[in-house]
Amino acid sequence: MRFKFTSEDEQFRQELRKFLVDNLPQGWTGPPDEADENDWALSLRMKRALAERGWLVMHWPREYGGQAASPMRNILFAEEMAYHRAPGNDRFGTRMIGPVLMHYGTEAQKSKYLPEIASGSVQWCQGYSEPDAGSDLASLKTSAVRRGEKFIVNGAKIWTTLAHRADMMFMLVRTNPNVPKHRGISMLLVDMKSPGVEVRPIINMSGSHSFNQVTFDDVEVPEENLVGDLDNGWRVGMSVLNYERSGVDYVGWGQRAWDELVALCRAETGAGGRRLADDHAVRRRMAELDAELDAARLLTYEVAWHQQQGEAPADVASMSKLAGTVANRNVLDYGLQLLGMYGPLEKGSPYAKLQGRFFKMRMFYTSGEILAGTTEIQKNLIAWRGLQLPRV
Amino acid sequence: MDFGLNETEEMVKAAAREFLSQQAGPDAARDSTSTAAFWSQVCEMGWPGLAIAEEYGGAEMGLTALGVLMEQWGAFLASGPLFESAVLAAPLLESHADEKLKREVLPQIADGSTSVTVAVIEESASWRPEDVRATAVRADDSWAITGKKHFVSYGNEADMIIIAARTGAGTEDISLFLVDRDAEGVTCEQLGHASGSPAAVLTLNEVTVPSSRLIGAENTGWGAVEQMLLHGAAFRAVQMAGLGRRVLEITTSYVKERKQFGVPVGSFQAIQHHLADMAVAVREVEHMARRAAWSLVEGSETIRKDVSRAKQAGSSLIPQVCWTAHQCHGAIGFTEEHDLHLYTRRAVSWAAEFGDASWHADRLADALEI
Ligand SMILES: Cc1cc2nc3c(=O)[nH]c(=O)nc-3n(C[C@H](O)[C@H](O)[C@H](O)COP(=O)(O)OP(=O)(O)OC[C@H]3O[C@@H](n4cnc5c(N)ncnc54)[C@H](O)[C@@H]3O)c2cc1C
Repeated sequence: MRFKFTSEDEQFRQELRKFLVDNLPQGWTGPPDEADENDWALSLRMKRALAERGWLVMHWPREYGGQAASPMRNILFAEEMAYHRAPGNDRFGTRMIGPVLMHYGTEAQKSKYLPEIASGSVQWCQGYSEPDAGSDLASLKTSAVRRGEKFIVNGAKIWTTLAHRADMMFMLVRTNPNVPKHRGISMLLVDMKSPGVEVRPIINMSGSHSFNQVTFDDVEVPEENLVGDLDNGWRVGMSVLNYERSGVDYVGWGQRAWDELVALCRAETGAGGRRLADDHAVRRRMAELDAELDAARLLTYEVAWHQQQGEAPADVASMSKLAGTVANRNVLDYGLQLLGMYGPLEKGSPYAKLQGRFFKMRMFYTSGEILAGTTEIQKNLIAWRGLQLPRV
Repeated sequence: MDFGLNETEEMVKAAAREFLSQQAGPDAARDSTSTAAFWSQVCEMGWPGLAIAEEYGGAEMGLTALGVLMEQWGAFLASGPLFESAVLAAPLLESHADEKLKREVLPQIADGSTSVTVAVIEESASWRPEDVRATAVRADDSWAITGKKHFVSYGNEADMIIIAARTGAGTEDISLFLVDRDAEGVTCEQLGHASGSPAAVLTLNEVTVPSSRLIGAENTGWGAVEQMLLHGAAFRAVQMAGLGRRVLEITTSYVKERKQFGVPVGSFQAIQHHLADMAVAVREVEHMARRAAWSLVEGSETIRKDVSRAKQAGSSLIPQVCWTAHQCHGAIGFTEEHDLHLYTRRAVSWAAEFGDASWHADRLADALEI
């Protein structure tokens, strides 16, 4: 047993922190809004700067331009990035489609796409969900029909994060409607500039534009853009969820919010002129939240530890996502409680505290318990896969 | 014990639902251009005067009937200073103003020609008398008020404002004044508020108020504020109950419609348990909030406990009902286009108003003499 990062990892953390201070705008409090041109420019700049340092894909094998960094180092990186609310940690390219291509891609696909991802010069998005295929992803209907050397794609994807900024999409399509639903799915890579692709914004309830609806009207996709075997897309597509289902980002975000609250508690006085930080009830609740973040953090580290040994226990990944999203939400809820009447004052009001950020973050992170497999689905997985309870 | 509504209350409820389901609701809440027309209809129906005594031009239906109305007002996200005028200002004036002022103002509130809001709390956002810093200084037959008031709901729209100001050196030497909003020296700063309801900061710079607009006797204002705070907390809880019930209805019908894995998502026990939790919470808050309003009417000796229990429960349970509703909706409930967040924004904002959950828990602990 050893509950400590190596001194090399700690040294890396210091370098990364310095890098973030040097590269983020002064006083950056995020979170970035990808619809905002300035924030998007920052995101691109950060992505390239990370690539230059070799950090963008440090977890990749050396043959693809990575540093073969350990999963532990990688999780430390993700946590630190989230803590600093730093954009540019291109998860769709570096954590999802990149590893998928290494495993399932053709040589041509690898040599075409991996260097672009490693250099931070393309943006990918993930086209899985559809209006009628959310938790039941395998029921997806967007079709791809073989015509000569092409697939013709028709249908609609929804909730596609960053589609409005993406150059490429990796998507799941139905290539065989006549077999059980999991067996007729394939993965395709689609150029977002193809004729017939239309991206429409969906504004989320925190007021920003993060995801989209994407429709496909007779979109031609060259057959060499099929990833893995035809009709084997379910397995290919699910392999990204190993990366998606980690709570580490939420732990980083939650910890940052917790730190902001402690600073607030030290600065603000409550009834009777006493600092909030001296109020017994506040101290106790903040400590409980610290323990909750810590528990979630250990689960995310455990996932990395398993990966280090070449294992991928799905139930621990689900636990980590569950605990991370809940801890982050609980910190934000308590923040709103502490802010009281000031919580709902919006950014731009001269009286807003913490720039009205907590209310907006609370609204935004409601999505954490929905995306990448809802909390209910994660609990089902923990019960089914972890505890072998009977499936209904 | 009787958990049912009486005839008057049933009538108010039916009328409120019928009108508000057509004229208020999420679409109207998003459209700030329609509020003036809506408000004049509300006034035509006499709702601001629902609980005002007949002799002052009201319908004298009582506070529990007003509670039934406010439940629906909350459920349909209605806008306009009804809460401020009917729940906060009118009862305060009726109990504390002198006869002349009552005869002048209450009929105007009742017929809707005048709306009134209340400005007590300041930058500290606290409900303690020592945190009232605004001052009123007497000069002959008038007063000059100076100070700054925060979180004044409808501060930019109401015709008159009841202002709490310090008039003596003692902690509770506070007096209340009825001030015209367009009086000289009143400036109003509108703030962006996540609930979508207008809130303002009022700056008062030597605002001259005639002595006839002093409410009650000098230095006795704090007792009136305490009473008003009970009304505010009880009726916010009432609104939260109504809002929670509506969110439960919306979510129940959604999970019956939305299919995944070939069945309605409402057939999964995980979702059923969420809905069951919501249903329990809503019913509890409904009972507690209605009981608090009833205790106010009866002058029950458990008023303070009942109000604090209701607001404590409402503030902690109803936002949770909303968040659970989001969870049951999946991504569609995370969009700006879907109405759910309109309810959530109000519920979370209301949770903090007129004392939040922990403030009321502290008050309850005191009242229980633990
Ligand atoms: C901010 C955000 C970003 C997203 N980004 C992307 C993206 O980039 N690409 C992409 O493809 N998708 C994306 N998604 C979509 C996301 O993957 C889906 O929202 C998610 O899979 C849930 O599907 P749904 O929203 O249709 O909810 P539904 O599946 O309709 O679920 C509704 C409710 O039913 C419950 N439920 C469903 N099935 C079961 C069951 N078997 N047992 C118990 N409860 C169940 C759910 O937990 C939920 O509470 C994003 C979503 C969000 C909110």
